[in-house]
Amino acid sequence: MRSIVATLCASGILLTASIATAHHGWGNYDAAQVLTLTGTIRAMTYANPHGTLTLEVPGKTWTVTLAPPFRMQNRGLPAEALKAGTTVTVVGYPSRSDPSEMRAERITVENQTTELR
Amino acid sequence: MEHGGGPHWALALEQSALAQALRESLFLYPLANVLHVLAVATLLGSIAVFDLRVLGLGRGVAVDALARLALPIAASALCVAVPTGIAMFVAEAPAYVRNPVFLTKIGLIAVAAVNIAVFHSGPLREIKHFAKEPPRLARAGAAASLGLWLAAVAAGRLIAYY
Repeated sequence: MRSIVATLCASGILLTASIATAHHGWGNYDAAQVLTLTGTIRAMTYANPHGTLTLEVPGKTWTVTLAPPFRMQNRGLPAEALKAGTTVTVVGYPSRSDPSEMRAERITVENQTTELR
Repeated sequence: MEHGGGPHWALALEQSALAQALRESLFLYPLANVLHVLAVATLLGSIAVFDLRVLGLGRGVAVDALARLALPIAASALCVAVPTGIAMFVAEAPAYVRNPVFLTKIGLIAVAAVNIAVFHSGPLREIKHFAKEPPRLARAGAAASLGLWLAAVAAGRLIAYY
């Protein structure tokens, strides 16, 4: 019994350590390709599990995945700050599966930058 | 909310008042999420202790007494896990219906439920006689239960990554 517990503990530590050294990306988003998009909000959902923007930039319309509403509210980014028609800049990573989606790391609205992660 | 289609019933669920409240309220969705995690932790913990006992660990613990403690705890936890899970499901029903890991999780839970029914209709009735050596059928059920619930919880956590 004691040796089973010791083995499980040791393999857990080893596994975590190997993941920590191997980890580069960020799930389904390509962290190697940082996008900075400035555009106009066409639609917004301030909804769980995470908010989204439909952001029109010259030549393309993006779906921008934001943070959970509770976090955005907490960090001083209420729904009212993200009304349609507002110009914003988002910095984030493109989705590997949906070429029109990106996940925002931070968003700048009128000189106020909010970290979303 | 994800874009893209889905079956009619899933789209209808997503338009329900409950789903809208969950998406729009700042605290409802996180609350459901926290309760779901606590319930799942309690469920898996109590089930694992019982299954491991049936499989032969901790022979000093009376298996029928353990069943009277662990199984009601598991059942109560399930009663919290299911409604909180449904709440999070309806908030984005079409996206979940498209998610292969979510479907895997539901499949695993369905098989685990059948396993529970079989265990209750058979081996559990003879639990008083498990003391020395639980019958082979009981041990098979316990092993299946442990594997199914571990896999279901793992799949549940992985939904967000697919």
